[in-house]
Amino acid sequence: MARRLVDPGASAAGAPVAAGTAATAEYWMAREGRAAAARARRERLAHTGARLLVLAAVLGLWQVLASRYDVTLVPGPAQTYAGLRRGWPLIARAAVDTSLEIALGFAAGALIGLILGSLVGQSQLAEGILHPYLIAYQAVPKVGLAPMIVLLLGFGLWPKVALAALAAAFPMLENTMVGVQRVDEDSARLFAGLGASPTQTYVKLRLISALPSIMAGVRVAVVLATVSVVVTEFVAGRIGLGAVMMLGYAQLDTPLVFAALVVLTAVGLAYYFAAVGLEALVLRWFNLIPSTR
Amino acid sequence: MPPRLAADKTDLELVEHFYARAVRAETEQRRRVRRTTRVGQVVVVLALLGAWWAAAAVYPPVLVPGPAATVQAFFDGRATLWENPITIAEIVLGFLVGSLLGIGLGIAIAQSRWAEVILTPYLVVSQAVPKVALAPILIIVLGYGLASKVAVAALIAFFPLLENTIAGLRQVDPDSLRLLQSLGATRWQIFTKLRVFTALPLIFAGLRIAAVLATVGAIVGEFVAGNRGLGALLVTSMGTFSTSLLYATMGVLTGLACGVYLAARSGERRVLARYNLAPPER
Repeated sequence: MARRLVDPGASAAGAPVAAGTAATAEYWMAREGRAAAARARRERLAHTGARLLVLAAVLGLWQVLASRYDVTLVPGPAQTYAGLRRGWPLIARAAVDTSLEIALGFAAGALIGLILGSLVGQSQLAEGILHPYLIAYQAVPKVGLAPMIVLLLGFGLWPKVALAALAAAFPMLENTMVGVQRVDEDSARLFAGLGASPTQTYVKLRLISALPSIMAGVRVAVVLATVSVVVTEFVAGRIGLGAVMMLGYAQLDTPLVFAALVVLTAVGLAYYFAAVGLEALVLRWFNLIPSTR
Repeated sequence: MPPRLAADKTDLELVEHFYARAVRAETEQRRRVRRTTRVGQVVVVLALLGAWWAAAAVYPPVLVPGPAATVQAFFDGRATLWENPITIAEIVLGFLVGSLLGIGLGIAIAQSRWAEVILTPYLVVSQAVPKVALAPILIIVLGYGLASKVAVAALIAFFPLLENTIAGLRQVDPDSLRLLQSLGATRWQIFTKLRVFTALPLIFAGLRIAAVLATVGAIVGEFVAGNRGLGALLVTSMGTFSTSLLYATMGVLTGLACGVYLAARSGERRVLARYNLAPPER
């Protein structure tokens, strides 16, 4: 260890000792790095092992429960798979419908929220007027609006899109508004001092520095859009995975309900991780720190 | 040279004079903004009511009933709270069960590294998945009565408390922790005297979210399997095209939800003020 401290310039032998010192230091550092990596790998392995064990235990418990109760109450993993294969044409079509509804509703809501949030963030007056509605929005169960929207827009694609857009718009609006306002004062002064136009300040400073907050809003909005779509499909059961679940529920075909739920879970996860990925990508591109929310 | 008001004033008096003037101008400005905001709010409410009234005049009452018809439907009495106490019971019970389980499990997970390691993937999945979609399954298992709706409400009220409790217990100030440890505090003492208090703001924020979500859960439960309660009334009035009843029910539901939210928020503020804690950064 002590050899690492030798100053090569002070040694009479010169180069050979210096080379030896550097090589020794490299050797020790590499060894420590390897040991740390091995520790981390062992830990990860233990974690993965524990997680797999727990997953196996959960599946086993599910199977045991399923074998003790009737298939109508608790269908087991095998019966759920059978339900998935049996109902696949129905479920696949419904999954496409649901995915489309979520995508359309999210896109519309996010766009509206982004535009309104940018405008409201510019004006204290607009924010003051909007404030009670933002509070009410937090309190009111949006899914309660589903029957109302169904009556207005029918039983097809559009009521689902409308409610999803409504649910997605508000978190986007709020996060955009807050993000646009919370800008570094020195940067704002610099922009003003260099004679930047309001548009330039907005696009190059405010919008960029709002991105972490906006992307956090995207994550929330995607989940809310999914929930709204599913609940509207419960109420107006004609298309989508929620409708398939209600169909299976009405006919006491529980394996079909479970199968549709599994596919719905997959759809929800796919959208959520797409949002998380987009967030990481955008923030890395602009070299920003993710929002803590 | 700065402008002088009068030759007999000293510099200090001048500074005081201008300072007082600036403060007055600022208060005046703030008051003006507040007044304009108030006026703007009234204008917006009137505009919304007018738009509703106009829409009701254009469309048939089956599609859009006007304000008058909605008020009439409310006084017909089927949409009132005292006709639907079951909904309130579902919300309260679901909130209590879900938040107690969430806090309890959150404490257990925050104390144990292995529990966190094992449960983290499930927590991530639970954030992404629409938990209300479990409603039909819970109703098949628990029946059509009160228990299944309480279960749906508790299930979705559970998660924000679980997450916030874990996060709150974890975010303890490292210096305070080191101080307590160096004074020989036991784990239990550190928990009751430090961690609980740093966690309180987040736990109460979680309770506020849970109150709203319990309402959502009760309503969705009644959507799926209901013959009683406000959610069931929404679906039946949709099915029978009793649109004015639907609007009245939605109004009552909105009022109820706002009441639940405001109650949760005032409880939060009171407790945080009692322990001199700041609410969490959003």
